[in-house]
This record gives sequence, C-alpha cells and structure tokens, in this order.
Amino acid sequence: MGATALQKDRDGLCFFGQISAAISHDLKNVLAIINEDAGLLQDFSLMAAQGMELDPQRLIKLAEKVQGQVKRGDGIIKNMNRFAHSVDLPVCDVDFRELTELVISLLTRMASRKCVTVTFKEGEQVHGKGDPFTIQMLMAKGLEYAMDSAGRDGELGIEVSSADSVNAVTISGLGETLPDEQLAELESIAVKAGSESAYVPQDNILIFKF
Amino acid sequence: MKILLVDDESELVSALAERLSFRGFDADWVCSGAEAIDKVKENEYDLAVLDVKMPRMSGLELRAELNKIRSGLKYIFLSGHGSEEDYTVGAAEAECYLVKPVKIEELVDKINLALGSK
Repeated sequence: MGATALQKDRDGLCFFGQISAAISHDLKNVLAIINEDAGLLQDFSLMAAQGMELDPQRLIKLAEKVQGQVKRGDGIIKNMNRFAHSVDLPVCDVDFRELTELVISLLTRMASRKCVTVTFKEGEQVHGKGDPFTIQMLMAKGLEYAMDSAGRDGELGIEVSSADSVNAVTISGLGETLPDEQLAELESIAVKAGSESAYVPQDNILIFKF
Repeated sequence: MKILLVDDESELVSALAERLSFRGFDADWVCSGAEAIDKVKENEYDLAVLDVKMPRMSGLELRAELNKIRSGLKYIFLSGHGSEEDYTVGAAEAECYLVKPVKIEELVDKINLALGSK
C-alpha cells in the first residue's frame, strides 16, 4: 500500500475514532445518570426500611428520568449504528438531508464544547450517488472549522439544496477567515468524496458541491 | 462539610448532590463554571467535585479560577472518558480523579480522604 493510500486510511480512521469517542462520552453520561437514579432508589428504599415515608411522586419522577435517559441512549446508539453502516458501500444512494442531520447530531457535543449553535435549515429532499462515509467526513470537518471560525456564541446554519443536477451543502455564519491549511485539507477530503469545496469569505459561507 | 458539585449534566449532578446530602454532606450543585465561580464567592466550600469536560470552561480552567478566589479548596475531578491523558492531568491537578459512572461509596471515601476526615 502506498503512502497516499495509507494516509487516506488513517484520515478515515481518525474521523471514525473522533466520532466514536464523542459517542462513548455521551453514552457514559447516560449510564452515569441512570446509575445515580438507581442509587437514589436504593437510598429511598433504605430510608423507607428505617421508617421514613416514601413519596410516590418522587418515585414516579425518578422512573420518568430513567426512561428519558434510556430514550436518549437509544437515540445515540441509533445514530452510532447509522454512522457505522455508512462504510458498508463505497458508493450508494445518498440522502443528503438525512446525512446532514446525522452529522449535526454526531457533532452535538463538539458544538456544545465550542459554544456554537448549529441549525439545520429545512429544505428539499436531495438525493445523489456517493460515498456516504467520506461525505460525512467532509461535512464534519467543514462544520468543525466553521465552528472555530464562528467562535464562541457563534450561530451556524447548514442547508442542503439542488440545482441544475448539482447538489450542494452550504454552511453559513462563519466568522474569521479560514486558514489556508484548513482549506487545503477540506479540498483534499472533497476530492475523495467526489465533491468540490468552495469558501466564500465575503458571504461567510462554505459550500460543498456534489 | 460543604461541597460544590459542577457538571453540565444537570440530572447527574443533582442526583449526586442529593445522595451526598443523605450521607451527611452539605452539597450544592451547578451546571457551569460561571455559576460555580459565583457560588464559591458566596459560600465557604471545603471541596469541589468538577467534571473535566464542560462547555465554555473545562474543569481544569475552572479549578484555576476557583483557586484565585479560595486557595485552600480541595478538588475531585470526574470524567466520562477515563483516557490515560485525562487521568495523568487529573491526578496531577486534583486530590483525586474518578471515572463515571461513580460509586457513591467511593466518592464519599475520596471526599473524606481529601478533607482528612478519615
């Protein structure tokens, strides 16, 4: 395997690892909350055994909290599964709207850490052919750099559109100018994803065309 | 003993505070570094339990800020990751470093140990 192919594999692995780490962090938090809610139930049981009165409403609220966390965990695992299966086929039908929403969900923790709000702008259904894993990597890297550019309390929008047989994913709301090395990296991933990336600093937007 | 718990997961930190209060601690909780700074300015805490990774201000950054306000405060760090890097940083910067999910008995032991009350 040549150096270029090795680097391509490593870029993909790094992205997979970055997303997996974020997912594992979220799941750890879900488990930690369920653990504490179960602990509270144990505490209440021990106190009841010692003659203290149990408030049924408190138990109902605790049960609802556990159910809420199970639902949250289920959503995280569903996203993880969709992301994991994105490597199944090198080229397949891609629902760009669905894929964009998935990338936004996968980057929720990053956005929270960087104090940036990412809003998906509802639009038309856009389908095309492509490598879903590499397209996700491109969108995620673009969003990451857009978050850095927008800065704390930044508000990014992301929109999917289609015109004249060209599908586009547009990230708006960027702030500071993207450095050349970030643009070069995005261009490199865009080539692998069969895409073209364009940065329009005067409009504060980043566009990926497929 | 007065303890402040800080974690951006409100359900987690509120439950932990309640469980610590059942065990005789006077435990407050907040969900951000900014709120923690306000609390420490207003109260005489003995120990702070800090989540390592929080938005806006990490546990390590918060510790540095809190030290400026109250130099004798003891710290325990909590993390969901438990990576080697986190552990090394946490162990060097705090009295103790625990990985979520935490066993309440272990947390109580570590608090008592940090405060020299056992």
